Amino acid sequence: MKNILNIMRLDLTAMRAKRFSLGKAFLIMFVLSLVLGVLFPPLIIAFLFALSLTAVPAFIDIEDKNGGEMTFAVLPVTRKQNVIARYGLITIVQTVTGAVSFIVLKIAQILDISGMFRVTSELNSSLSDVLDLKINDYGIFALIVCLTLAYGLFYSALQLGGYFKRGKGSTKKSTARGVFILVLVYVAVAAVFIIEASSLNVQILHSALMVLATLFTALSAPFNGALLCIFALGCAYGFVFYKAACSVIDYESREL
Amino acid sequence: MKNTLKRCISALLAAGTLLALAAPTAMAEDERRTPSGIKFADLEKKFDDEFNFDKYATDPVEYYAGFEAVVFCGDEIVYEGYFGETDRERHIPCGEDSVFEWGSISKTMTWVSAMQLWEQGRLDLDADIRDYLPDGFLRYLRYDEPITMQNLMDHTGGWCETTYNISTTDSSKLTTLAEALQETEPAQVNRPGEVVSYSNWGAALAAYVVECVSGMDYADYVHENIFDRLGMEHTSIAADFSDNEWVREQRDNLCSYTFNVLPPKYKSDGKRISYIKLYPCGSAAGTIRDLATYAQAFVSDDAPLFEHRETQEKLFSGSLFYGNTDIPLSSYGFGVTEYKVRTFGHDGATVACRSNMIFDRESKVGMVTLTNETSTNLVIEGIPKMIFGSCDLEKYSDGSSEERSFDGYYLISRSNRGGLLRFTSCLTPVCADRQPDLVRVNDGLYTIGGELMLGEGRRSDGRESFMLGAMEIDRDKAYPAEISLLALYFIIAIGSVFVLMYKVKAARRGRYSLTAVGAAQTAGQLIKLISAAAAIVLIAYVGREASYGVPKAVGVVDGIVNLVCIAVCAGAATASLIGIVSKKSDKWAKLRGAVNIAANAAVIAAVLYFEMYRFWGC
Repeated sequence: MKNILNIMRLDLTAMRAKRFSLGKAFLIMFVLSLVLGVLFPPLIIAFLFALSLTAVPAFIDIEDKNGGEMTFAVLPVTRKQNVIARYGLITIVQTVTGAVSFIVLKIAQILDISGMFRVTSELNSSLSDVLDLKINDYGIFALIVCLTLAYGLFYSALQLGGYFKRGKGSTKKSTARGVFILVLVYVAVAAVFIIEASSLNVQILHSALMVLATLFTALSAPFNGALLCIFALGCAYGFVFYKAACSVIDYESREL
Repeated sequence: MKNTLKRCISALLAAGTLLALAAPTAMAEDERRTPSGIKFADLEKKFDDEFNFDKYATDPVEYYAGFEAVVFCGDEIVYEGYFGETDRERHIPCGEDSVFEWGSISKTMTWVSAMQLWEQGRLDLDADIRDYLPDGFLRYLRYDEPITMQNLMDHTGGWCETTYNISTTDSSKLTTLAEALQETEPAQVNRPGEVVSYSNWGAALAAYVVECVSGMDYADYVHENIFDRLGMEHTSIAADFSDNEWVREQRDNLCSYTFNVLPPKYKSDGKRISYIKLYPCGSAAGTIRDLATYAQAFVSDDAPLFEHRETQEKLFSGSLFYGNTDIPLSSYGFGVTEYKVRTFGHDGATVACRSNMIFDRESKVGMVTLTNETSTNLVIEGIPKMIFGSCDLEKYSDGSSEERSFDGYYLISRSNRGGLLRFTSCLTPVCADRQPDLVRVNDGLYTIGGELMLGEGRRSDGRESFMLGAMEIDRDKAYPAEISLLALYFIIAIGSVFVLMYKVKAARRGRYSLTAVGAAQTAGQLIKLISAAAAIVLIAYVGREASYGVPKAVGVVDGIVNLVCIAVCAGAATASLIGIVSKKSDKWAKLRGAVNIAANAAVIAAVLYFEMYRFWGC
């Protein structure tokens, strides 16, 4: 455990190595989005989303420049600890960012400077009859933050998995693949809705959508959507755990 | 000349006298109005104005598929309208010969039949129906209390929604009513007489009681005692329309449509012929004229369906009331809706059509509507209020207007509250926190949002509940724990997928060797995944309105999977426990073992609590 924490510290030090380091850039962006997020809450979600896309490539870039991949060869740490530390650090950074985002969101709701929450409230009350959503306005924003965080965790775990399996060269490919998958998901979701709204009768699609909608609304009922958030994050952290375990196998059996 | 003049004067006088006598009658004719205040003569214009049918007529199918409406006063039809098409593809317009499915309006025929037998002294509404049924017919009763015909009429027999499908698309699979009832007997989850829970099965059982008492096939009984008496030649009641060849042929000219967001506005679902095995609860089909004839019988002073007028009076005297008031919620199976006037009737919906029948017995004004559109159509749903006016809830107030907080989670009585679909009732809760508070207007009568009327429930277990039409909502204080358990069940299944994928990967790299403990745990993970997948299949079936339930084979397989799941998970938990206590395992192995035991215990708890294994008696 101590070794894992030391590797994390080493990675954080590497981030601060340059005058205008990645760590500083991240902090500036983070503080800026928090301040602006109070004024306009979607900015927090945008920052979280951007973080989920860029965190791993940026981190790997630094690792590469500082020879971080060979840490286990020069320090008394194992490859397994190396993998766990990298997964741990990325997950902690994203989780802390997500947690702070929730707090800022609550402040933004209390102040409601931009009037976003008022608009959401009106939208929510008119939509709730149709969608049977049982979440209030803060719950809706919190759910979006949660889903963004969950997406970030999934995406980062996928990228790290590729990195530990095939090395840095694969990261660019996996980033491109990730973006492609993301676009594909959006296109697929749009296609599904268009098919549902059109005159086409695709029973299996209809049934699948119905199951998803049923589970989504059922999970949104208790604790103002918190159960849905826990469910989404539970799946995401489970995936990170799974990918980390797989990466240990990949990394240990890889020729370096 | 003189005579001619006299004749002319006499003729003029006679004409004047006739005019003078006739004028008030004609004027009275013109002044006759619906309860909402619309003159009968203006109904056509009102329909056009309110629903802008002129505009729609340019392309009616853009706004509704097919739609028919009849408004009557006593035995006179005062408005009749046919709009759109029964088959858009073949351009068959709606008309007098169009046959639609009446859905649950069919149930009222059972209630009429029961009242006919009651007035003949052959059926006691308050006797236990088991006195009329063959011995041991009801196999899964939970309560010993008698179930009466009155309970069936009021939907208070105690049964929840059926698990197994009550309809089929293959007419060769139709069985006798008795067999269909026994195949689909649902769980009895409430004490008889306590909880209102609309039940197709209960209504069909009532029809079977009619069969047993009358000694006739139910369809034959209805033909002889309702259709023939009223001259309803264009109506059928049998599941496959086999009792009326004309209706069967006409039904082939009807397609069903659902609303579309994108053009074309209506999506064809085809003919959607679904044969209802429990046919008395929803198989009637016929023309709108016949439906109007049937409805008109209930406002007639002659009470043509009964030997004594008093029987009809009793039928509409109310049998279930809001709280402790005398305001009826339903009346011997007929729904009661308070508009500007008190109306009686029933609506209906099948997989192909929707229908409505409402009448005011005071003014004798009534309306019937039929459509081949299964999605909600606000144009059609606005008609009752247009005819009968808006309800002024103030008239029911006893002067009090104290507020009562309405919070927490409520479950709907008309859902699967027992058997392998029990978990689905937790997927559609009523979240009261987001509703306005209740306002007490009378003893046990509440309003919500100034519109909806709720009657206080009367459960012996003290559970807070409210009656809403033919169903209840009851407060479930354990709901957050229940849905959390269900979420945990699914999240463990997802976790099992990750673990299994990891094991496959590790095994390929030679990093995983299967031990006895590991094999048991893997089996546990696999069965959890299968169990969750089976649960999702059930959710999909429940959501498919065309099936009205789950096929028996699917239910049995699902139940067996979950029985195996309990056994395998128990085995996996035991194996993990053995692994923990063995000296060989390190602290991480012990932690994994503990997590495994917890996951298995949670899944067993979920399967047992939600009765996912119980494929019988539901």
